[in-house]
Amino acid sequence: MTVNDPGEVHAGSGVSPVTAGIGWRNTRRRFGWVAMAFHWLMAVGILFTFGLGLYMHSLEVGVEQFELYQLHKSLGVTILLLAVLRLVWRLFNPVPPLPPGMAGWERGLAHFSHYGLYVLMLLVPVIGWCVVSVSPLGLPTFLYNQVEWPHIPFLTTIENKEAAEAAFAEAHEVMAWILIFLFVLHLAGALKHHFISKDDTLRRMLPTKLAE
Amino acid sequence: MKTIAIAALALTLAAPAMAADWTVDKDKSHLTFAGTQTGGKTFEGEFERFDATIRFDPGDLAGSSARVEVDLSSGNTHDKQRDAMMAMPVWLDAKSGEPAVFEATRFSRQADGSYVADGTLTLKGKSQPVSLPFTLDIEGDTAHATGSTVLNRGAFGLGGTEYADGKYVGLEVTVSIDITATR
Repeated sequence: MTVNDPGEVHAGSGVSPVTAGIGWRNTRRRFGWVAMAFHWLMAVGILFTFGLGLYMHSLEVGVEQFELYQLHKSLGVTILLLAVLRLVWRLFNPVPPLPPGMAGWERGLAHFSHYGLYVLMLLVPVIGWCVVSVSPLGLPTFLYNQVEWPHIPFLTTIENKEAAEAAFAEAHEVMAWILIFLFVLHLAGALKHHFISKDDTLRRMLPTKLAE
Repeated sequence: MKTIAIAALALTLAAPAMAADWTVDKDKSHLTFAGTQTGGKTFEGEFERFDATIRFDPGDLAGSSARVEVDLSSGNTHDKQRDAMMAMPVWLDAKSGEPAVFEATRFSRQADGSYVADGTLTLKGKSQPVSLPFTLDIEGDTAHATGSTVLNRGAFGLGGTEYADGKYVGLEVTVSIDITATR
């Protein structure tokens, strides 16, 4: 696969000089519009859904809690679908390489947090889906109260649903916390690159002009 | 006029006890229900398809009877998730095709002029006695009846063991009729 490096060449007349050179696809130097959209949409979605999960869990059984659980399920499925699309997009759009001059352990930590984030943004919703599917209550899921989302078939018929639900719920919560831990690590890395190394790592994920 | 009325009355009294058959006007008739969800939030719904065979005469309550068959897959509570839930085997088991059947076998007139229909409701294979108080207005050949009764869903096994305690869905369900029929 060839990766074009447009630099400033795509800057036509009438194009904002700030976003000039940003295409749909990634280049060797920066992320494109699609990757940026996935990145920021999912960053907001994951944080919000995590916060919602903590909040709804703290509520008493009631109408508000019920409705927030339904919203949490819809958001979780949305994140799962976005994560799958994002991986497919990434498969055909190699990401720009890490900036030069990083120590081996820094590269290792960056890769670890990136892969960890990808694994968990898929796994946390899937385990949540398992919780819903195995629940003895058997509540159907309607995404945003409109479109039915099925249960995972074999989980709806297993023995001892209560114990299985408790185990999946525990795993869902623990993994969500690990996801947030990696999120913080990722954020710390981005800020370190921006303010200490003073490189383009953060800028290339923003719709802004690169420094170099 | 008076003579005709007297003649008609005489005819009615003279006629053998024969309660009239009534045909339900489906556009003007509603079978609704109301329940509560977690935290006491009430919801309302309607069974959009039911058939009724009604033989009723205020002057011949002993010869009156009614049979109502309700298509349990026709429940609509205006919420997709709740409707899907309601159709599940643990609730109304809508896919079984088994209707709910109310057979009223005894009608009695109350002091205030209203009536009570006593009978049996069969739902998901369980039969329970049910009393349905109702008011009735007959004008010419058109009758309008309204009434409601409270059922305990646990008596019919609705909700299974998972929802048996009423924590998520209230145990009491109010079923109401608003029927217009002609003879």
